[in-house]
Amino acid sequence: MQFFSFGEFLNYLATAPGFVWNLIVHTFWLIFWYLPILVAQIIWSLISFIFYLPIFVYKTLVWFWTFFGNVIEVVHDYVFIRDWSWDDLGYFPANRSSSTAEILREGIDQPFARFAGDISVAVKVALEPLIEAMDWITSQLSAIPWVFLFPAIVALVWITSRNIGVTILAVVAMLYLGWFGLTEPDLNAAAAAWETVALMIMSILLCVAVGVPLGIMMAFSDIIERSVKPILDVMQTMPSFVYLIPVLIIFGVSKVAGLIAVTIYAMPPVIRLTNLGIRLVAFDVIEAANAFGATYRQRLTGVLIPLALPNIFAGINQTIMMALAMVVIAALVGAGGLGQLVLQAQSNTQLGRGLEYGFAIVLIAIVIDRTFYVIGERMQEHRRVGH
Amino acid sequence: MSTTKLSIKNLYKIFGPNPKEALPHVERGVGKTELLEDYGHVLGLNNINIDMPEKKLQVIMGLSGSGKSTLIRHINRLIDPTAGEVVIDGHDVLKMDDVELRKFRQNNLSMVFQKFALLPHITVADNAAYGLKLQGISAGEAKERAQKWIDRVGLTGFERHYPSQLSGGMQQRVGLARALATDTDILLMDEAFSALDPLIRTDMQDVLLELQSELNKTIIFITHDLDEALRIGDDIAILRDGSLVQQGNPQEIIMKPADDYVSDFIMDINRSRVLKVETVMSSGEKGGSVKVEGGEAIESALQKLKDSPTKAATVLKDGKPVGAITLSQMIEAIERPAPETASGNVYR
Repeated sequence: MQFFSFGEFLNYLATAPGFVWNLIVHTFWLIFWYLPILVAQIIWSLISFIFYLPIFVYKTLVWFWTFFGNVIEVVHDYVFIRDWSWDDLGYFPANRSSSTAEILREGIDQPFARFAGDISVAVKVALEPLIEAMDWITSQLSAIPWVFLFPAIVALVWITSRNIGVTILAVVAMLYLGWFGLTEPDLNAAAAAWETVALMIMSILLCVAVGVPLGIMMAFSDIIERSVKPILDVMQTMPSFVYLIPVLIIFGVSKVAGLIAVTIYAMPPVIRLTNLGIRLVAFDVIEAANAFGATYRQRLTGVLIPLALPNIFAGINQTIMMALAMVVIAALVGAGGLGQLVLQAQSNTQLGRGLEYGFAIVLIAIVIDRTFYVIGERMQEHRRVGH
Repeated sequence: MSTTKLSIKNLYKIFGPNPKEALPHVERGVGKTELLEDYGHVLGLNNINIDMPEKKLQVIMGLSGSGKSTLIRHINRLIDPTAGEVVIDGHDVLKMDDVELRKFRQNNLSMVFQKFALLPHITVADNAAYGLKLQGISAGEAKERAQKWIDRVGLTGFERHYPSQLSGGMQQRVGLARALATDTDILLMDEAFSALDPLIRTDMQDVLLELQSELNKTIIFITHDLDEALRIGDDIAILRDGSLVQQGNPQEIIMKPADDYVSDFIMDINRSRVLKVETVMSSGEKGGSVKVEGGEAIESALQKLKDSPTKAATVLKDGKPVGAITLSQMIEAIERPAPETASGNVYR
């Protein structure tokens, strides 16, 4: 929003009540209209995905079949066609330029390319609502003038945290982002800060919505725990550039790719800590709930989740931090926002600009993290009042 | 003898990978150590048969590992048995499906735990109303009824505190209020006072006895403390290594211990405080002018007899003379029995 004269500004102020009204209407619209539709859309996508599942399984099997066919071929060639000699004991028969390794890699690449072509439409449709929501948040935050938006954000932080320190931090963050022009949309780009915030909000929601239920399931079943844990290990240790490759094949350079990259990287902590938190709930309290005739749901919502909250919140905080650490990498595959500015600064070797955007990311991270932390603390009032 | 409220029949519990297969060995008479060494299963409960009287305080006693906590958890089926029956008011608890069992737990049984097991994230008032909330009673009424019991156990003014702000004794009062608020006939108490220090424990026993004299619930009380058992129990069952050793009222247990295990158990207690005059007296005989009550402890009867030590005292019951008791009878009764075997303390 730009003003070219004082009169224009006065004119603008005169419409201020309208803006406030707009803000309220939009908020209500978001909560009571847009979000339910979003949820319905996601559920519908999942349902259609389930119908697609047999084809998906078939394609996957074909992929594996081709892959193992190639492996068998390579081993067969190696054992029966190549001449074996005692020299083989002198060095390990690895050779990056050999055709065997090439065949193995091809065995993954080609079937995956075909497989990706088949499923990309289904997955894109399933994730479309998330991208829409992200764009919507970005455009709304960019459209509301700062005189209303900044105080509204600071007020939101105050209402949720009731903590003066966090609120001051939010003020500092807003002033910083505003001062460096990160909150105003450019001619051809959305406001960088809001784009990053929208990405954060959606990826954190996705992480919590998937991670907490999965963590609960892991806590209830040792089999699920044993099978999910290695996957989490891979998610956390596999370099993100590697899993960005299939994501890029399926989605191309887009916001979906960025969202998925962030979510995969940031989800493990909340899953792990939810699982841990529920497993650590004292057995005698669960037994007491049973002895008084609690149902499964009453036990879960009345005992297990409340008592696991400290750990669940620790997990969410970790997730937030890891998500923000991923914004630059996500920008590589098209997520935009502050990450993209950092990338530009890096390719032009401009330390000043790099630091400017870097600190913007740090401030956003700290405000979101501290706010969630204080909310978590407030939800566990009983822990602060020990004797 | 009052009517039976709860009866446990041929109850077996075996812990291990395949309890059903180990059961025939136990029924054949294989003991706890042997079962563990030869078959790799732990014997939890071995052929328990107990009838528990209605509106009385039944104590189940034993050392740690004797299976007493396992036994009480069979009554509300927090643990499923390997074989046997638990019949309450004619209903076999073990035949109930999930929904019936839940309703039964909500409306017929309540429980007090050794480590209190209060919900730390809700207030004292909400904790006391927890059982009522599960019964589906509206929040307002639940709060009102819980408040009555909070007042009754002496916690008025602490309603908005969290459990962690209270001392152990006060926390267990909340546990007691939570159990009593549900208004069930049966109260299960699993070592309810064992985690409290001795003075508070006596205090809580008084609270329980006072409430019981008014409420007349069927209470099943687990303890490892014999003094506690003798003080509050109408009937005592003693468990050892998962088997029932002896069941009877406190006087019977002291006067006729079933085996060495029980006699070692009762060796260190203050007999003069527990034994009653009517247990020791010669019934039908006539005594002198000093009168003592039949239900009185020997400790206080001795005081009354000190002025005329040579004469027998008349024992009264309901105002009528029923027998006589002499000083030497009483002294004989309170004499501490010698350990019967050289290895008398092997169970301690």
